[in-house]
Amino acid sequence: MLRAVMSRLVVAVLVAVTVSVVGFSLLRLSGDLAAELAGEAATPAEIESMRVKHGLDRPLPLQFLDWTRALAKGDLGRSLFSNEPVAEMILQRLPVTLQLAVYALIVSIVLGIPLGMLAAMHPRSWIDRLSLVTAVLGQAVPSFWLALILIVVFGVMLRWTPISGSDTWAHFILPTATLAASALPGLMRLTRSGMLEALSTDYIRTARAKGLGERTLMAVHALPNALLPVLALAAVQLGTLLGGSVIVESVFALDGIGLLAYRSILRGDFPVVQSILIFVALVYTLLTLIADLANAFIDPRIRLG
Amino acid sequence: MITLRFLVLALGLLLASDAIAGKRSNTLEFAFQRETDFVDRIHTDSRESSLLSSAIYDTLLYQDPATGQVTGLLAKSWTWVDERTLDLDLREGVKFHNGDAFDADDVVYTVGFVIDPQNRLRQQESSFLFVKAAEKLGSHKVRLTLNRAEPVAEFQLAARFIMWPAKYTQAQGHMIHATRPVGTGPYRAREVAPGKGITLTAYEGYFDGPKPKAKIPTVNIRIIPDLQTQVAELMAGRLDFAQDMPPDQAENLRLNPALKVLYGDTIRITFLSFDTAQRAGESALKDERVRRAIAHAIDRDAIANRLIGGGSKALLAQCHPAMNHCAQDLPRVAYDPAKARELLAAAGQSNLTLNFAAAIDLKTVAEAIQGYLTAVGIRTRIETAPLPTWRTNFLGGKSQMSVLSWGGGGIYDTSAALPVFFDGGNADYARDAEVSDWIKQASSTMDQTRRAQLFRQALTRIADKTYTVPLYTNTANYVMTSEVDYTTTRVDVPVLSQIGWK
Repeated sequence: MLRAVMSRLVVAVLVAVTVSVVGFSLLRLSGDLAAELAGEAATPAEIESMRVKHGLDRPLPLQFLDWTRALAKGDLGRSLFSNEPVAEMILQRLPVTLQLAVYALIVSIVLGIPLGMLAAMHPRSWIDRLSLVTAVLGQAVPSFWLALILIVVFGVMLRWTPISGSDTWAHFILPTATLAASALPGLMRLTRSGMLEALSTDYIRTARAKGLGERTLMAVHALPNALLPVLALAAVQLGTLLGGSVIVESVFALDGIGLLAYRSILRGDFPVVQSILIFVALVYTLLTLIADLANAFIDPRIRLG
Repeated sequence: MITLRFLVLALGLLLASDAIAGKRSNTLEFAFQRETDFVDRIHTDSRESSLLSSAIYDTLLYQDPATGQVTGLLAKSWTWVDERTLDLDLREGVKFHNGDAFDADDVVYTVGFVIDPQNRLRQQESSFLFVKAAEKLGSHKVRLTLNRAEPVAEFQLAARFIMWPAKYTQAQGHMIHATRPVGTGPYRAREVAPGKGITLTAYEGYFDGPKPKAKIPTVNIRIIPDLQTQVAELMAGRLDFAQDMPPDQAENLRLNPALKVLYGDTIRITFLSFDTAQRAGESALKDERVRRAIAHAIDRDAIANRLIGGGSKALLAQCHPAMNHCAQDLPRVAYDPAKARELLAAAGQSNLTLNFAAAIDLKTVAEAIQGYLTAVGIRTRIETAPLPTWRTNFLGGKSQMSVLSWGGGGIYDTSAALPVFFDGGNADYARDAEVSDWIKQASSTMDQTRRAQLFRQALTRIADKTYTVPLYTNTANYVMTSEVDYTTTRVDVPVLSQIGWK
C-alpha cells in the first residue's frame, strides 16, 4: 500500500515537472514577451530595456531554472505585468474556482447518480434512452455554446438569474449548470453500468430470492458496489472541473483562476501561468491518488491485489 | 397553480434583484473587456489605464478630447523660456482625494519618479525621458528642463504626466496606486478589486477646469471578458455602457430600441507594409511597379465604408488626417485593377505569389485584400497569428507583406505615426536613409513650418515609392442604453466624467 502511495507521489512530481516544462516552452515560443511587456507603442530600445529588467535576455534554460529554484523555496514569483505576488493572485481567486467546481460536482452527483440508477433499473426504457441522450448532449455540446444559451434564456429573456460576476450565490447558478453539464454524463453512465453489473450478480439474485424488497436491494446491496468506480470518477472530475473552468469563467466573468490563467496565457505572463499549471496538475494528481486510496479502503480486492 | 406561479416569480425577483443598472439606480455600470494592471498611466499605458487615469488623476496639461487642443489643467498656464525650458504656473486650491493640498512639491516628486531610469517604467523613454529635471520655483510654480527639443512636449504633458500626492506616495510606496489610488481627478476610487472591477465615486471637491466634473455619482466598472456576455448584460438592462463591439454585432444592437450605438474617431490607422528592403529574403516587392500595382488593386474606400464602417475613411497618407502636419494633398492612388495588371505585366510578374501576414484581429481585412489581389492575378498565402507572435515576426524582419494597425500612443502629431516605421530599426522595411533623416529632423525641431515641410517631404517619398499602402482610419464604437448621454470625441477612450444621464 505504502509503495503504491509513494509511486503515485513520484508520478505527481513527474507530472508537475513535465507540465511546467511544456507550459514554459509553449509560452515562450508564442511571441516576444519583452515586446508585450513594453506595450504597443514602445521603441526597440524600450523593448530591450524590458528584456533586461525582467531577465528575459538570459538563456531560456537559465530562466526556467531560476523560476524552479524560487519555487523550491515556496516563492511563486511576481506577475511580470502587475508585479503582484503570484501566490496572492491565485489565493485571491481560488475560492471562486473552488466554489464553482464543488457546486458543479454536487449537482452532477445529485442528478447523475439517481438518473444512472433509474436508467439501470429500467434498461431500454424511455428513461434509459433519455439518460443516454442527456449524456451524449452533455458531452457533445461545447460549454461556451451552452453557457450562451443559458444566458439568453435565463438571463436575458426570463431575467431570473444574474449573467456575470461572482458577488452572490445566484451568480453561480448558470456557470454551475454549464460546468455540471459536462461532468454529469460520465457519472450517470458509470452509475448505470455499475448498477447493471451489480444487478446481474449472484448475490443480488440470492437476495431477491430471499424476498428482499426492491428498494432495500438497490440501496443496501447493489448501489454501494456500483458506486466504487463512481467515487473514483467523482474525485477525478473535481480535478477536471477545477482546471477546466477557463471557458466558463471567461463567459460568466467569474474572477477565478481559470480566467486568470486565460488572461495570463494571452499575455505570456509565465510566472502566473506556470504556477497555475503546477497547482492544477498537483491537485489533479492528488485527487486521483485520494480516489485510488478510497477505493482500496472500501474494496479489499483492490487493496490486497 | 397560482402558488407555483407566485413561487417562480418570487424566485425570479430574488435572483435578479442585484446590479440593476440605469438612471434609476444612479450608478453607471460600465464594462471593460480586459483587466488593467494599474489604474494609473505612470505604471502602464493601455486604453483601460488611460480611461481610469483621466477619471482619478489629473495631468499638468489637458488635451481637449473634442478639439485636440492642449490647455492647462493642474498647470493653469505655461511659458516656454527657451526650447528646452518650460515654466508652469500651477493651479492653487486643488486638493487630492485624501485631503492633501496640491503644490509644486507634488510635481517635483512625480516628475522625479517618472524620469528616474531606475524605475524602468513601460515606454519610459518615449513618454517621459524627454524631461531632464523638475525644479520648484515657488509653492505653485515649477520649471521643467528638457533633455532635447521636443515638439510634442505639450501633448506628452497632457498624456501620462499625471500627478501623484508626494507625501502619500512616499509614505506608502508607489505601488499603492495599484490598489489605493489617490489623485485630484473628478472621480475617486472607492474600491479596486483585482479581477473583478473598480468602483468610482464622484469627487465633490473637484475644481472648475477644462475637464468636466463627474455627472454620475457612482461608476461601477466590471471586467467582462466575453463580448457576447456584455451584449447579454446590455440587453438584460444590467449594463449601461460597453465599447469595441464587432461591427456586425454593433449593427444588430442598433435594432434594440433600449440601446444606442455611437461611432467615434480614433487616432489609429491601418496600412499595408511591404518588404522593400528585402529583409525577409528576395521577393518581387523590391520592384516599385509591383508595390504600386498592389496599391492600385485595392479599393480602400470600399474597405473603409463597407468592411470597417462607422465613419472609417480611406487614408491618403501614412498618418491620421487629425495629426499635425499630416499632409492631405498628396496624389491619390486610385483603385484601378486594369492599371495594376498593366504594372505587373511591365514588371514581368503576371504569376506572382506573396506571403501575407496579419495579426488575428485583422484577418478579415487581410482576406478582403487577398480578394482584390487575386482579381489582378496575385496569389497570397495569408499567415495569421496572435498579435505577440505576429509582432515578433514583424520586428524580426520576417514579414514580406503585412497588414497592421498603429495608434501612435494617442499623440496627435505625425511624429507619432512615422518614426518607428522609418527609423532604420526593427520595424523599418523601407530603409530609406533620406526619409529617416527628414523624419528625425522633423521630430526634433520646434519650428513648426520646418516640421511641416520635412514631414511633407517624407510622406511624399513614402507615397511615391509605395513603401506602404495607407488603408483606412480605425473607428471605435460605444454601445449604451438610451438613458445614457454621451457625445463621442476625437479620442477613442471615453471620458467618464463626460458621461451623464438624459
